[in-house]
Amino acid sequence: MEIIAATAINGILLGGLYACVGMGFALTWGILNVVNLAHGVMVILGAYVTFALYKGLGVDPLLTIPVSMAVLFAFGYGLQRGVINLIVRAPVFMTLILTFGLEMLIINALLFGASADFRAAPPSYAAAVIRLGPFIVPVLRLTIFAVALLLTTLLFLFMYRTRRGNAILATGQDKEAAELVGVDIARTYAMSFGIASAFAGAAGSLIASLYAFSPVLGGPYTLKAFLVTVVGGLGSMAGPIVGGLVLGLAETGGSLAFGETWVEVVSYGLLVLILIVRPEGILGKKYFAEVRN
Amino acid sequence: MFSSIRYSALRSVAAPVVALFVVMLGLPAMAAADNVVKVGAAVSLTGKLAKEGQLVRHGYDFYVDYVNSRGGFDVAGTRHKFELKYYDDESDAKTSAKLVEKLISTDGIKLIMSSYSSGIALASSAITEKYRAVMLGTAANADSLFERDYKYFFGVLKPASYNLQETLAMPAMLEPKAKTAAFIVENALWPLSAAEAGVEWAKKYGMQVVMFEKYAKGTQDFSTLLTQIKSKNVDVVVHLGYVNDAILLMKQAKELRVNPKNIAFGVGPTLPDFTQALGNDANFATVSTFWTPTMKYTGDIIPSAAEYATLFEKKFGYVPDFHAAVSSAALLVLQKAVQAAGTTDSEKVRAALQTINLKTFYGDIKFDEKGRNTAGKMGVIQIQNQKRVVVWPAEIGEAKPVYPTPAWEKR
Repeated sequence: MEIIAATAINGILLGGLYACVGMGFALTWGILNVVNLAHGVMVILGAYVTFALYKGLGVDPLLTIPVSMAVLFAFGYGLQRGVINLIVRAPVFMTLILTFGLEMLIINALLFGASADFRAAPPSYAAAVIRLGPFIVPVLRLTIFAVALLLTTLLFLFMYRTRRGNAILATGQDKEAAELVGVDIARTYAMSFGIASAFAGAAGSLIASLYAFSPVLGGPYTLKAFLVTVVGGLGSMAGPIVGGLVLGLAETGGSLAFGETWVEVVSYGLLVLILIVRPEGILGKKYFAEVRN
Repeated sequence: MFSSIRYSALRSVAAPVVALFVVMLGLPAMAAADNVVKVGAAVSLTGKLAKEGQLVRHGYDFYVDYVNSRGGFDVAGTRHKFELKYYDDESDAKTSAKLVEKLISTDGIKLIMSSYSSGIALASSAITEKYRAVMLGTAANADSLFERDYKYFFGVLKPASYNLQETLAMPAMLEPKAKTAAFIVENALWPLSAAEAGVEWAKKYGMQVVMFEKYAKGTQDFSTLLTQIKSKNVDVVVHLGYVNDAILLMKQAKELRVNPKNIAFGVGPTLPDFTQALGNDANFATVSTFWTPTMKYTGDIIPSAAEYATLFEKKFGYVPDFHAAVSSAALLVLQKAVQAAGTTDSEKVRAALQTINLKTFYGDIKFDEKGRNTAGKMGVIQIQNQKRVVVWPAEIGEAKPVYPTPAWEKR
């Protein structure tokens, strides 16, 4: 019984991290109708920003989150206006090709500039734990979970309580109508992609504090973001959180129930199940972000 | 239209001149053939494996230079020198096979050194076996190389299945003796084959294998496995996989306060990334190693591992690792075999290799009936104060092992 509870706790904590990784991806897909295959590598970029500050100035990795968010926001904003904008109205296939190409470009640029060495930015309290009875809860993971909730709340407040946020939501729902009421579409798209990238940056800072990373790990993170988004659903700010939690619990629970070898089968089996039973995702709104064309 | 006089004059002069010419040409060749042991090598000088091929080549070059500059060696009473003929196999198995065929049929060389990878050696050794030429496998050690009933292939590097031989012996033999083991293995070819062999070693040392879990590459989380390991109070945790998984395992072991007597790795902690990412958390982890310059090996021709490393560094500017060392050792073994056989005839050299029993700067070398070097032992490195030191076996170690590993709470 104890081990089931411990597994559940681990699953929830893992889910918090997955939620962070998935948030930006869900935003891009929901608003811009762009499936950003380069999302994972932007997470890695955020990790490198954190690593640079950690190594160079000795800053605690969690405190670098605002910086990595700002850097990635600028990067995403510029990328969208310059490159992604070209394929926003194009068939979905083009978004996949473009973002795939971007992913390869960024990964190889990183390999060239930063080498394939594994880096990490563990904070001093990396292994501190809280003991709840017989259960051990690592402080860092709990903090990361809290950060995930905080980011979700901030995003929600921004989207629903500010004009800019409302504009973004409106654009996502009906671009032409938004244009009619005076929303600057180009700027809105750039802003959304910037925000999504900022979230990727935040996830990167968290990754850097928890794991060792290197440029080639970008792909797997994109895959996780994809899983989180499809499971959680598009159209709701809480979608990634729920998706992340379900995925995290599925992985740790699957490992306990079937053995570690089957974890990926469980994750992707979950994906297939969701697509069959509730294709818009757990919290997804029907017709909200069907990929057009 | 020669006049009959000129023609006959020409004929009478021509023949001896031509004969003299042939003799003059032949003389140096005959003299050279007397004093040179020709060895062929198809090495990966370009392509994916260029880096490793370079290390292997340096190993060969070092030995040839070392021996030749000291006057060579005696074979059947006359002084001989090594002559190594290289071809670049471009990191490709088919190319390697073609080049080895060229070495044997065109260049007439029947003593061949292998290339770096097991995959390439698998292909090129098929050629040497066909022509009954001797091939010495240097840095190629997949077990499949030795399962073909080949008579002419000898591998100096311990087969992959021996990877955990000493790493598991250590916790099993030191007090308090380890009784249970858990294997966490990446689901890929090399980790699985080393792990399956590792299970046999564990059982041989009296340990019960309570867990054998395969994980997919790039996993983000070992928490479930580690929680189970903690609840079962496992003595030895064995990991086989890539270095970033090894780093993750150590981190999560600390997070979840999992305290086995020993955390052992098949590979990973030897890379600087491990200590850079973990700092002091890397301490006390153990990992298998083929050879380091600090091992207390002594032998003939090259007196010790340390001496080898010093001379190598002087020549090439970097401290050698096992790639170069095993390559030099392979040539050393070949030399001994040629000397014992008294000839470079591949059949006799092969017979000599089958009975050879050497102590060298690389360790013990003796081949079993499948051509595997079963004499030498793997070594075990432990990370102490973020430094890598050889701790086992005791005869060749440079420091004492810290066992059992102190609990995380007490570090």
